[in-house]
This record gives sequence, structure tokens and C-alpha cells, in this order.
Amino acid sequence: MEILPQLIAVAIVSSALYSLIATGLTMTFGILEFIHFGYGEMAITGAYIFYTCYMSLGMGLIPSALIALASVTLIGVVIEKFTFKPVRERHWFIPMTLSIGIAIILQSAMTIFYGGNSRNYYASGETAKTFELFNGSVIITDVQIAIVLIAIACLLAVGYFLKYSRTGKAARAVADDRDIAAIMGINVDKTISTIFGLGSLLAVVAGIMLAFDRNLTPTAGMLTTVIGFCAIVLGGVGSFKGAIIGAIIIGFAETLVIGLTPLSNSYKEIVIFTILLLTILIRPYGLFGGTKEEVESRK
Amino acid sequence: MDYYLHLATLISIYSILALTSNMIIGYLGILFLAGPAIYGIGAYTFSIMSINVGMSFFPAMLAAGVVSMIGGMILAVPSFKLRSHYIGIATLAFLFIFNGLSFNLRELTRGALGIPGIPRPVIFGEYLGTNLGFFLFALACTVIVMAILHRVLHSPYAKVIETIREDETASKTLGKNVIKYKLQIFALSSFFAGIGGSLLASYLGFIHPSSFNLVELTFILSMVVIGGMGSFWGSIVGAALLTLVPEPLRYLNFSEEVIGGLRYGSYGLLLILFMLYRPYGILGKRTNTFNK
Repeated sequence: MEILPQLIAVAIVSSALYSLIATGLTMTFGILEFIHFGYGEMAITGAYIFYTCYMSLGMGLIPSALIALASVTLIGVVIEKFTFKPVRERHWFIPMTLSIGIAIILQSAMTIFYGGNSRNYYASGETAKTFELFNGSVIITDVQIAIVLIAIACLLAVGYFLKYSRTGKAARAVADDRDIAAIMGINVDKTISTIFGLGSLLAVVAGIMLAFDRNLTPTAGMLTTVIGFCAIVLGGVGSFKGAIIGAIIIGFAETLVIGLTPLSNSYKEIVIFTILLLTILIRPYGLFGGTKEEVESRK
Repeated sequence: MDYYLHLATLISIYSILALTSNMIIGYLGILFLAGPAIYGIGAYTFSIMSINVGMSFFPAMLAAGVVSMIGGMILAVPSFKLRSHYIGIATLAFLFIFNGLSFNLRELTRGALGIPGIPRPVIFGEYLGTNLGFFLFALACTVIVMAILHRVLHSPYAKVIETIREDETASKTLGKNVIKYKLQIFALSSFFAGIGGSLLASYLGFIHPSSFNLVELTFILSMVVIGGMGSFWGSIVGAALLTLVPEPLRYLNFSEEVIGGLRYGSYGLLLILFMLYRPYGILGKRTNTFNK
């Protein structure tokens, strides 16, 4: 079992990435009340904008990241204002289908501008710096350490924001009941827009880190969304903690199953989605989502 | 001429595929995102049966229908308990699992190499090698399938299905066995999806795991939604429209990749415009719960 410490390190990195995606997604899901299928595509779009600034234009790490964050947040707010807002009061199927349309357009735009080949953020010959921990039983790159630290910082910041800030409290009220929140004088439009922007921001952070850790292809977005949603469903919809726990379960399950059994890396998605299907069949509302009655009463 | 026959054949096959998805999404009101997996199972079963096992055309097609039907009935199980988004995610997970397995079970599916040389049928001693021959055959199959489904979907039985979509609790109160109806519709739809899938495999002569992926799902879903959910003729109109709309793009002088992107993007644009301005699609009913 000498491989185990290394696997755990890799699993922690994956969990950190998935937690960020799941948290952003659960925020947008909570407040919009439909699956935003374009979420992963926004992450990928951000990662490509970062690619242009960082690799093609040779800008520094921080300026590139800021440009990517700002532009995708802007795209997100514009999408919310001009497409989701007009259909907000309709059956959830309509905005959900609309978000699939948005995902398709973003994905095809990436294909047209950047081509279908996979890319990464390293110039040829350059690789990440590696460190050995615990007498060499764990080898980890500087990028992976940064991913875990940034993810934890983002999660703490978002958790604090939702719990204590004025907008965060308003957001929870709107997620709970939009009409009553409006009666209480909360500016619903502004709150939804802010939370959607914040969700897009998290998407970009996750997207850039995902591309640093793995490769960047235009088609990765939808899979990212669905994995994020798996984490949410596993943990139980509507709970911030549930999303993170779900992400950790997925991160560990995929790494340990691939690492400890003879299955090859291409079985990763099969493992994740089989776990999801089984969970849904045995405990339909997630591991921490409570019983059917509790979920229905929460809506 | 050959080119128009090619388009007409595709439209006729996709009409079956769109209508079978529409039966579950539009008529039964279940967010069913595993359409390509179901007809993919049919296409793979057909190819393996006719190439590896050596079955002749029609028995292989029937086998494809039956195996797809079993897959569909398994997929119906989550829909007994779950609602809305959950079932969408569960079916999407099924699509990913199917995709992963078709890549990884190399002994059976040849993985990323795909299965080439899928035979076309022999009718009255004549091998349908030409596009005209296959078009007439596909048209005949489509007409038969459509006739059966038209009969089913315009009967009192279909009214029960639509009642389940509108209000499941009320249907139960009226003594309808909702689980039975759901299972029947899943079985019926998946059987014909399997038939459609084997037609597709036979026509293209080559299948690959990526013939049944998310791109195909968005393609089918656009046909269903833009044609009109819960509308019989809507699925045919949707299939025709979405097959034809991106065709002028091929005359543009761009690279293959850009054309592919534009083609895919045009579906996205159509979906957004329809959802904003005409969410019930071209022929759909405004009364459908999903469209309110």
C-alpha cells in the first residue's frame, strides 16, 4: 500500500477542484431553481481567456487571471439579464433548455476560435515544480498545492459571504422564497444577478485551476457541469456542506478506484456516474438531503 | 440528387429518433436525457448481431429493438420515485456510462476504432447499396413506425399519459397505475428507438462511441423542443428543420472545424431564440405544463 499516500494527495486535489465547481453550481441552482448547463462552459471560457492572456499575449499570472475573471463575470451577468430573466417565472424546463443553448454557443465559439485540440498552460519543455513530502512517499506539484489553498480560501470566503453579508442573507431569502423576499423589500433582480455573477466568478477560478492541473479542451465544459451536479445530488441538494462533501466523495472515489483496481484511467467517468446512479436509486435525495418529505417541504 | 436523398434519409431516420424521445419528454413529461444511449444500444446491438453473430438484417433489427427496450425499462425505474432535475441527472449519468462503456469494452465494441462495414438490408433479393434504394427502405420503415406510434399517441391511452404529465397525484387518485403506464411508454419508445438506431447504423455503415454522445443529445433535444413537445408531427418538423438548417453552412469557405462549430452553434442559437419567443415550439401545445 505504498501508493496510498500519493493517491490520497491526488484525491485531495481533485476534491478541491470539484468542491469549487459544486459550490458555484449549488449557489446558482439554489437561486435560479434550474440546472444551469452553461456553468461548466463558463469555466472553460474563462480558462481559454486566461490562455490567451497568459500564453499568447505573455501577460503575468495575476493580470491574466483578473482579465479572465472580469470578462466571464460580465458575460455571466449579461446572459442572466438578457436570457434567463425574461423566462424566470416560466416552468423550469424553459430556462434549463435555454442554458443548454448557451452551453452549445459557448462551446462552439471555443471550437471556432481555439480549435478542437487540447492545450495546457506550459510552454514546451516547461513543467510544474515538484515537491516531495513525508520522506518521498508523496510527490506533489506547486500548482497542486496552490489549487488546494486557493480552493479552501474561496470556499471560506463564499461561506462567510453567504452567511454574514447583507447580500448573502438576501440571497438565502430569495432562494428560500422569491415572492416573500420581494415583499420584504429585497431587490430580487439585483440579488439574483449578484449571485449569478459570483457563481460565474467561482466557475472561472475552478476552470483555470482545472486547466492547470489537467488539459484544456472546448468540449470539457458539459462534463464539468454534470460532475459538479453529481456532487450536489450526492450530498443532497440545497446544502452548501452537502455539495462539498459530495465533491470530496467523488474526488476520492474516482482516484481510489482507478488507483487500486486494474481499471484504466478512462473508467473514471463510469465510476463517478455509477456511484451517482446507485445513490439516486437507494437514497434519492442524496446522502445528507433528508427524506422525501423534508426535501419537498423545502421545495 | 444523391445529396438530397442523403438528407431525406437522415430526416426520416431522425424523425423516429426524435419522436421516441418526445414520447418520454413531451408526452410523459419526464426530463429524459439518455436518448442517444438508448438508440446507441440499438445501433451497437444491431452491428454486433449482424457482423459478429451473423444474423440477417431483420432478426438483428428486432434484437436491437428488444435490447434497447430492456435498457429503456431499466432507465424507467428511477422515474418512479424521482422528480424533475434528479431524473434528468440520472438519465444523463446513464448516457455518460454508456459512452464510457462503448469506449472501454473493446472486445465487444472495438472501442475508439468504431465498428465499420455494417451491412445494409437485402430486399427481394436486391442489396440496397444505392442511396435511392436505402431511402425508399428507410421511408417505408419510418412510415410503419409512425403509423403505429400515431395510433398509440392519438388514442385514449395517450390521454392518460398526458394526464400523468399534467398531474401525477390526480392520475393516481383516479385509479391509474402510474408506474405501469410509465414502464409501458419507456418500453415502447425504447423499442422503436432501437429500431431507429439500427437503421442509422445500417445507413451510415460505421458507428463510433462519439456517434452517441452529448452532441447527439443536444441535436435530438433540439428537434423535440423546437418541433414542439408532446406534438406528433412536431418531431418530424423538428427533425427536418434541424437537419436542413445547418446545410447551407457547408458552402462557406471555412475549415472543417469552423464549419462544425458554426453548425453546432446554430442549434444553440435556435434553442435560445425558441425558448425566449416560442417555448412551445413550432407545433407544440401551449397547454403542456412544461411550456407554462
